[in-house]
Amino acid sequence: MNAIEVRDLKKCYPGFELKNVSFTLPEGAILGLVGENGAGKSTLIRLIMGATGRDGGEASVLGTDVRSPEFTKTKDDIGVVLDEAHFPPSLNALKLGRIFADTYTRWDGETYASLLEKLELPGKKKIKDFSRGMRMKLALAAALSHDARLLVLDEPTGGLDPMVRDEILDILEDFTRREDRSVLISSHIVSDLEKLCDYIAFLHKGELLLFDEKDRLLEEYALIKLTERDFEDIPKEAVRGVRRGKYGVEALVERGLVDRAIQAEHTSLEDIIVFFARGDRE
Amino acid sequence: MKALLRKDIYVVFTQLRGLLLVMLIFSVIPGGTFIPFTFLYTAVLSTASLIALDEQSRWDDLALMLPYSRRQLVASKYVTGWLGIVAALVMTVAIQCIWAATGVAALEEGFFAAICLYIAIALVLQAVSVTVIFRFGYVWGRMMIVIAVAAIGGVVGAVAANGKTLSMAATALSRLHPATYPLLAAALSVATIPISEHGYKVRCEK
Repeated sequence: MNAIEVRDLKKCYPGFELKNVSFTLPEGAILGLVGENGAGKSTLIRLIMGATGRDGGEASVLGTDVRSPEFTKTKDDIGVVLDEAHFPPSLNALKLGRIFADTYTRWDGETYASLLEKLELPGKKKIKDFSRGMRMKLALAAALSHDARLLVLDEPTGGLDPMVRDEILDILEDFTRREDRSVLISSHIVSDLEKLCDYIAFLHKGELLLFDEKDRLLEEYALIKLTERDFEDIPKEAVRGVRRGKYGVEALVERGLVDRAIQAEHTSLEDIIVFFARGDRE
Repeated sequence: MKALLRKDIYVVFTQLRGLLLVMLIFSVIPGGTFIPFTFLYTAVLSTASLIALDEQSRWDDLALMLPYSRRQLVASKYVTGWLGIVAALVMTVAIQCIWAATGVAALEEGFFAAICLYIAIALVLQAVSVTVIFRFGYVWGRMMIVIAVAAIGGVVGAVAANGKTLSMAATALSRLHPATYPLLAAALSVATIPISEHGYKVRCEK
């Protein structure tokens, strides 16, 4: 079974359009959704979770159409962390645990208590007095305490210091040790996703420019640095993005389509994303 | 549903303590003058404030992604509102009976019939406000409620100006047993749940 299947998903707002997004996330895999602010990552996540209506296409999660009434039950298998904790600020972690114990059929109070302890989250302190990092860790603790098969995280590491980000990524790595567990995580911090993900989706101005296995992307694309004159000999279909500077041209190319004699540098995921985004400006 | 009620009750006792205090003050004042305010205040403000706090903390965004159906999200607010009215009823009747028993203030004639009428009005106002807020959100909904209340006030004023119409309405109402007022209002309140659910769906799907 696939964890997430999306076909030609569309959503229009005044001034923004999510255009025919399609991808499949196999069960047990981790997908990183990258995109600049306003690219449509949160809209896509809201559509995938059935929280908003779509203007076209289909979406199913853990084998259930997100618009069907059965999806309410399916959400019992999904842990959600949004860009903020979104919990009532006057509550504390213990009261929140009691609410979630009545929400999820497989809520595990012991797991929750041990996560609170591990993440050094006080049980009785009001959520409004938590730092942003603490609130995000609390949201993660709640999402990980009901034996979820899929985690959906929308910018969970945004605005956090590197130590907390690292802590959160460690927890996510632990979660995915079991083979049937999948993760969809959106972020504009590409280095976080590079550490964690099996698949990368790049959303740019509402359009899915890229969806592939991370390792394949890193193998398939390379960075070349040439003079303007040498660059003219590179087949246009090989070029995915170009940056022109004083000393020549830097371009992201498909390795298989350029002459092997041309020296190509290994590239990072961040380079690939940046050059893909620049591609339409060149 | 239990989880949503638990959450709302926690929020009432942590963030809406001021509302509870005002409710208590209105209900302890001897005599019947302030009793209508207890019910109206509870009915309109408690549910509207809960929805406003959900929007403020963006709990409503998260809740749509948790295993709650839209019907549960909507119905839980109604149930919390009904519980508030029941609490106002118990508190008011108990305190006024204590005042009557201790000789502080006697129960006014028609006290229980008046309570039935207040409950009915509270239920209707609550149903209307919740329906409007679920459709338009708290900020716009609140403005529309103000407009609706002004419009209703205008209609009532116009009817009152025509003494004959008012007396006909009063006669028709007096033919019913007072206990039927809250029952009719409760039926109306329940009937608006699907309307609120639809309005909420329309707002979410935009």
